[in-house]
Amino acid sequence: MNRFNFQYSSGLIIVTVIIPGIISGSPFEYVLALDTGSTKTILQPSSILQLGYSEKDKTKDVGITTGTKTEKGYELKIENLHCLGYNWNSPSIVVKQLPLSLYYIDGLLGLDFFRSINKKLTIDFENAEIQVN
Amino acid sequence: MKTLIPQYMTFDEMKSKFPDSWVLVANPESEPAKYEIKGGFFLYKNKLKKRVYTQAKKLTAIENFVINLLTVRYTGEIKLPENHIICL
Repeated sequence: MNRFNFQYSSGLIIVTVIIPGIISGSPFEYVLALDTGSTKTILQPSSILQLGYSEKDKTKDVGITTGTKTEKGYELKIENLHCLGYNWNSPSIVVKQLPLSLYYIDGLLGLDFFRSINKKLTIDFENAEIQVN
Repeated sequence: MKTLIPQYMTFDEMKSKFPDSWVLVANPESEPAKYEIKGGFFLYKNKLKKRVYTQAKKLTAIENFVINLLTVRYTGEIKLPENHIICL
């Protein structure tokens, strides 16, 4: 079982993800909010562009339904994403600008990550711990 | 482009030396579910995140230093506007 203590950042549960770049050889670590209300993992355009991807790499346009409205974004396939001790190979992630008030995060870790690794996710609020097994 | 000289610092030192800035850090000592890192090799700082990303994109090999991982963190207090909640 992988267990990690978490700290809230402005009330959000933060996780770090590592994504390899396609320009330089150095992988990059991003800060995402764990969002079980999001069906897809989302990255901000500035973050994904930094890795060397561009809108030209998109595989399709997507509509994104939030609590109050539907917005537009696009999907692209990246090489790999590592999070909470697991690798997610060739994921399709959504690229979308998040509100400015979420300036400190690079995106959202959605349910598709947990479906992909096919593990049990437990958020232990009493002990401020995420468990994946 | 200015040559970057990696300097190991704790995150507390970065916060103290470069307040309210975005910092580019190589080989960060991070935890999988925490925003703050313990430390790492400081490379660059700016008040604008996009400039730090630009710098990271331009990064070339540094003599006698191996970059295994890069990250960007904010050294200021993370807070929402007053009377503001998040509903994603």
